[in-house]
Amino acid sequence: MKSLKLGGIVILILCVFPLLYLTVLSLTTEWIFPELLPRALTGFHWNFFLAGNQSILMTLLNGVLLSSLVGIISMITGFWLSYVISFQSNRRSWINLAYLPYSFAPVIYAFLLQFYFLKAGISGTWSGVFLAQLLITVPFVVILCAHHWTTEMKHLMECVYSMGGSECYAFSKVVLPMSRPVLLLSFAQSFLFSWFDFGFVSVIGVGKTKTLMLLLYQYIQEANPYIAACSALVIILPAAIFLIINSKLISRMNVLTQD
Amino acid sequence: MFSKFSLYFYLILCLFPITAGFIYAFLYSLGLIGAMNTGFTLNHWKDVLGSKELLSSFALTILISVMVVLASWWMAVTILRYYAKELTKTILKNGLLIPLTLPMLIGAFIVMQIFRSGGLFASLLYKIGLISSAQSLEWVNDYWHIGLGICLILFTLPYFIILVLQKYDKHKIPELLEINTSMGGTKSIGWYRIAMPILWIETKLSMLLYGIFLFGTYEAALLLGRQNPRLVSVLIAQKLRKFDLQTIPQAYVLSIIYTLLIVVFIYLFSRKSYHEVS
Repeated sequence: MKSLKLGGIVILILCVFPLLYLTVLSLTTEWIFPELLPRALTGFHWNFFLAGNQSILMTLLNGVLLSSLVGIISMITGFWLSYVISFQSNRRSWINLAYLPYSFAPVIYAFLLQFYFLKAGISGTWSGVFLAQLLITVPFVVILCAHHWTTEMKHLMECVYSMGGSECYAFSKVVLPMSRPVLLLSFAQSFLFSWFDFGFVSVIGVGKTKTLMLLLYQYIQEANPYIAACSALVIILPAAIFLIINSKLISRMNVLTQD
Repeated sequence: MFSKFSLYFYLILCLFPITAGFIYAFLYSLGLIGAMNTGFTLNHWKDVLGSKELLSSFALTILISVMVVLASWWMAVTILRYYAKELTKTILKNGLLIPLTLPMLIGAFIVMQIFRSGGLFASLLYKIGLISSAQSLEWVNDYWHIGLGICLILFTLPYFIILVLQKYDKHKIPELLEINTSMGGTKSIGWYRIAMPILWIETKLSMLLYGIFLFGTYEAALLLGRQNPRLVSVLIAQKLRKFDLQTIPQAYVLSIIYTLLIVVFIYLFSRKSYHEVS
């Protein structure tokens, strides 16, 4: 029994270790072989990253705006499409269709589409990256919401119709209040997809649409692990917030399973 | 009317961009469009299909995807076998979600820092006395793709643990194991003949889908993978980004093969999921 508890502690430490490691790495200026711990901790890199650099703040705001918009649009569109699909006779085939763009590696998808974005004049622009990300996040939300349209939900809507309520009324008074968790999950997942995106930002954005992920890659290439660690922690922050707000909701991330 | 329009929109959203990209790549690979192309030719296809690079790259990507999925599944099931009770505790359940909040690039960065020569792991081994210098351990961009494998397994494992735990509870495996014991079966027989087959059947679709994701992995392969052979996504990206215009049609040939493979995988996934549901 005692060893079981020890095993659980080891698993927990391994889960938390990446965050701890990044935090320590961001607070040190020198961590050289064969030292197991850094010689001293300092806030020097955080000062540079947050206070001393205006462009990082702009990049951060740009990323937040882009991801929030992607999250909102994907949530609304995907939720509506999943509703329409759920009433089709071959519902499963329609849902499986969403797996096609969702399974594509974003970087290869972006390369395939690059020509069209160039022709449309939106390659290297904020709107180009925004549109490109929607091509994956909307089908993703359809997958997330597909299992929300259960028989019970449909019966509830039929109840509203039978009592003289319109589709609009059923949606606003029954469906939406009951769908808050799945809507929040859809927003969170689309936001995070956009926030963590590297493929579309680097190919369609051509490095002009700055996001923190691009900045992080730049720091890694420049062999600047300490600033990269600061950047990585800021990138993880929204996901950690979503996790804290509702860990149960995030635990339903089991979108890959087709229950 | 609006529903019909929505369905058309959904169809276009899912199929049109991929089809359009596929057509462009196909025409480019045949020399019919694009800079430096002068007319119809099959040379780019011959170059790619005749080169060892294509075969080794696709074989490596499939091998790594399959090995990572199988190794993670086996580890997840083994952890479940010995720590099932611990895993049901809220703190550990929430803890398992932490690695899922990391994007692949950050995971690859952490693995790179820890497992490079002179990294934290090398320091630890040096202190224990297992290696004599920083250069004795190099698991980043290494021959066997050890760093890349570790990174992908660390990403896959927490997800698989959560997945098998859900299936373990859903299919009442603890009760089934108890029945097995009460009927005289050993714990080992119960695990291998009852629990593992149920978990395998219940998670194989997710494994297939996760394998498809890993097949297109890019960021981790970019930071941790070897230069030759490279993973498919890195190979395509590098051929497209080179200043040599001759390699662009080859990259599109590879993209076409990648697209066809993904379509086949998704078709298999759809069929299997359809059968399971029906």
